[in-house]
Amino acid sequence: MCVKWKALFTPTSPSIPIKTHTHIMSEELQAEFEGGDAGASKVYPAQCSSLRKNGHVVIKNRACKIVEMSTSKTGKHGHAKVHLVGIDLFTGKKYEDICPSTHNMDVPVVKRADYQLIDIADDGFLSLMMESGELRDDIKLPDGDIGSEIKSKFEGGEDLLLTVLAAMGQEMVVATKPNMK
Amino acid sequence: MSVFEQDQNPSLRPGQQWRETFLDPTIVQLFFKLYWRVRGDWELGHHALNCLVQLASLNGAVLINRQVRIKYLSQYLECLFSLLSSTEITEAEALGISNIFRKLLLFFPPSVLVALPEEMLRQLVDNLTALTCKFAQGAAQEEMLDHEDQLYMEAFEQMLQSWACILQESSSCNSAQVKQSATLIFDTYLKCHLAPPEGSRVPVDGDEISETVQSDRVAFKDQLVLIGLCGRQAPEHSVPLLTQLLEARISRMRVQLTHIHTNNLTIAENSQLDQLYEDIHWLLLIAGHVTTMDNEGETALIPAEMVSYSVNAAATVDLEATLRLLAAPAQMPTDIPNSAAADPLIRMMSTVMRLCETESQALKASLGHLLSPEVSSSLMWFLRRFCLSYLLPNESFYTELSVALTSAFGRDSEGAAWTLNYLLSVVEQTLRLRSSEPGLVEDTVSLLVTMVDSKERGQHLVKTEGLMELVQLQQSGTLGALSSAAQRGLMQGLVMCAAALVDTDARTRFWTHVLDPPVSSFKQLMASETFTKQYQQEDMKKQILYHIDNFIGAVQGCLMPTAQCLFSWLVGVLGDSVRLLDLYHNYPTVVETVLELFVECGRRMLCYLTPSASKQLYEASVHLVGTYAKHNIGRRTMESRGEEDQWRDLQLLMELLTSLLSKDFIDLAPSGHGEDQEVVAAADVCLFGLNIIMPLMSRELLRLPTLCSQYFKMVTFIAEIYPSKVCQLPDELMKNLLASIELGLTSFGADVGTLSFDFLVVLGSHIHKNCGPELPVRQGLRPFLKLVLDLILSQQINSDLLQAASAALYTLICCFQTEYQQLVEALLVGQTDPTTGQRLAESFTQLTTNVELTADRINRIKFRDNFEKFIANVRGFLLVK
Repeated sequence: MCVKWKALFTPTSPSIPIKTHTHIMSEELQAEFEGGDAGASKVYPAQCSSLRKNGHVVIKNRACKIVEMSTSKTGKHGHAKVHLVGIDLFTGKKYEDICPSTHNMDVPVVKRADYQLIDIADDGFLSLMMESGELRDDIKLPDGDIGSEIKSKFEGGEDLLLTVLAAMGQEMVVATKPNMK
Repeated sequence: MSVFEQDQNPSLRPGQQWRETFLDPTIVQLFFKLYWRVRGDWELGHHALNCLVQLASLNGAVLINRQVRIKYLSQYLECLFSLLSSTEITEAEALGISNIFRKLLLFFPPSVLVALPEEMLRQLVDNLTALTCKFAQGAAQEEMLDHEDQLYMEAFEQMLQSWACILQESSSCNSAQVKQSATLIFDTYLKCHLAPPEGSRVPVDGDEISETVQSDRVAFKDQLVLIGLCGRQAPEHSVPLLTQLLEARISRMRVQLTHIHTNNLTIAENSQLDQLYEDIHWLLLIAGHVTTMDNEGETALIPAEMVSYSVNAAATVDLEATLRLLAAPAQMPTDIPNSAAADPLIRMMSTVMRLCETESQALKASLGHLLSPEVSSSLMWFLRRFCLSYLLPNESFYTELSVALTSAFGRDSEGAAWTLNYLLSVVEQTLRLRSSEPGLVEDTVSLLVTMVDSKERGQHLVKTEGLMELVQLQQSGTLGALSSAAQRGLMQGLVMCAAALVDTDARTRFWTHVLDPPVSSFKQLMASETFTKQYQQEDMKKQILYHIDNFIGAVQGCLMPTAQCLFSWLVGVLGDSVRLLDLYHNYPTVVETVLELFVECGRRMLCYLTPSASKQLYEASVHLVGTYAKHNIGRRTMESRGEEDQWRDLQLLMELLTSLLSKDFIDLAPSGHGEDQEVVAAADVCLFGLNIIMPLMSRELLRLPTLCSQYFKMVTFIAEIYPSKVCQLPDELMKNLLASIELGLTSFGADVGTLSFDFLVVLGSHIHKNCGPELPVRQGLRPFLKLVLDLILSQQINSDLLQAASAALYTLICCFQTEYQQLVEALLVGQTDPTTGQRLAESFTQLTTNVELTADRINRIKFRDNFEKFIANVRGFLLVK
């Protein structure tokens, strides 16, 4: 199923009949998702030229946020190539890549969700409540400033929401804000 | 005079007492002799040559009448000719010599030159021609060798500018000779840009070229314009020549592509194609400048030379063959009977269309990778210019137009309808198949926008098949088949078309085709249950981005007649977009795209909207800002946000607020529908926004230049329009705001500095007039008086900023007169040296002499004059100290 879903994005097969109305397309896609485990695919291909700054891309097998995008060409009559500078979503390390603009690159499936912080265990694992009311306790307090900030605010009795980012099998707390509810 | 004085070498304009000296022929001779002696020595030679340039610009009281002018000019030219005939001009001299000619032509224009002896004038034009060609060739050499100093290039451009003087006044000179010279220059230029055997260009290399390198079209614009002017002197020469060169290369391109296709060859064959492409690229640029002129804001007209060229050719033109040639871009001219008798201008256009057709066939044969995006961009550029001048011209602007032109491109002609349709198909195909080339997409979108941006063309367009194909493309390309820019541009073009429809019914029908499907499919998506459940899925995000891109394009296509109607289509979308911002607050791509949609609405639509529609937009914006706040206030993130683009959301938000305010300046909305002038107004949105933004703006963020300047623009704008609202800001916010202004005065360069001083002026003036002494805002502003005064006296203010600083100081003095007295007294007491103290006291007295402290414009200007003297005085002796 996944293969067929991917094929729709592949620009090398422009012969796929394209329906004239978007909602028809979306229904098809939705039908394919129903019942299946949509999260199974960690990446999907996208034509390089369709990437956006501040969007995501996989470079050197790491999920990155695109922080710089520029084009160049080899020779005056050459075709556009896209230079990408990405920052690893989890480590903050910088990666670069260059790719002809017609080619595909992998884009990580990225999810971000806000969870309410319930508790911080002594070993650094967090107890988080999802929107559904279920609890998770498999995510650690992040290192660095933000980790200590969360800790001190929590200990100070603040009600906090934590943004958890998930991509390519990794998960991490990346942001916090006061719970306004 | 002032225009000339901006020049590095101001002109020579001695007083009357010098007349005898300059008119003495031996003086000019002396300078030439001097130059002749020292020209081998670089430094001395340079100065001596500069003297000759100066002498070429002699004007004013010494040259009392026409006769004297001619006499001086003859003496000068005689020496110049003898210099030029005795030696070859070297590279180091090129610029100086070209300068001589430019000055000569500037100060002795053709109307004077005609009085010269015939032989001398002939010699002048000959020399001018020979040197222009020589420098053109030198410039081409420099290009080839990648020289850093482009002396010949600069000299060549100066020579072309001299020619511009002659060509624009050509009637007064010997036109046959001028025409001949212009042709020679045109041919030389052409040769320099074509590959052998016809030309002398060296092969283009395969260097890596970044997007920041200027395109030829921009980098060589000035010379191309003048070469176009040269070409138009003899269209009967230049037009057929360009056509023939283009035709030959297009044939070769077709042969090459077929060869590669049939033999399944790889890209290795490309170097030959590259040479062809470079030729075609330059031929298009030159042909574009010969057949059309830059209109820059004015109505584009067919150049007069081209109009009469076509009229004069009419006697021998076979009209039927002409139209057949135009309508058959897939065939070669040789296959069309009597094509040799086609109108030469239309033959050129048909050749360009043949290039379109060749590209299109290559794309159909999956050879797109062999085409040159650069050539295609130049092609789109050519077609755009062609469209502007030739396609459906306003015939009342011309006394006579040839039958060939009116039947091919005129109103109600089949040719025009065919051409428009054909061009639409070119646009459609390019956007569909080549949307991975950002530059090409940009040029294609500008062609489309130009095509639809005229009532005449628009009315034809809506009837064409091509437009329906575009609409289909627009509605088929879900999930990233088109790049975001292509998608937006396409929608922009389509929406602009609606403005050409005068009939309301027709317009409604058009909207139903163009706007209804995207809006309703978006609404359906938003309402669907699956969306609510699965909005986080990548394909959902993609669809959402696709839809918003469409709506952004639609807003970009908004014109005055359609704004109100378009807004009523989109107002629901705006509400839904706020919901999107809420759902996708963790996904910057969606957040930014939604913000962009609102920014575009503020920028392009708001000024045309009725008060009640404006209110709807303000309300939606309040929601938007509130939702943004909900998710961002107090938020701390570890995602690397050091780079400027990471803050794009904040910048867009500020842009939105600024654009909403502009309604108070530019309001073109139909007024007086009896609606109550509700002032829920931009001010409230802005202040609400300011409340949100202020806590997010840190000192760190202000270091990012674009964010910083956007911020200061916004706060100064708000203070200017709604000072009273700013005065009522809550304490904490006011404190932050003023702290940022204090920082702005000195920390971020001249532009931000000016804005910060302006802020003090507008807020101070308001306070002076309207606020009592006990108000907190007055207290907040008080410390600025000392601050500004100190900055001025300690010379920490850049001279560009002095004017802004003087206005701020004046306003603050008005507000805080007692404090000002105290400050000045303290300063004077602090002076140890009695003379300095005395002088300082005098300067301060003089600073406020004749100025009333009323914080109005007139007195502010009086104060400024005093201030300039004050600065000059005080800086003098304080600096010494």
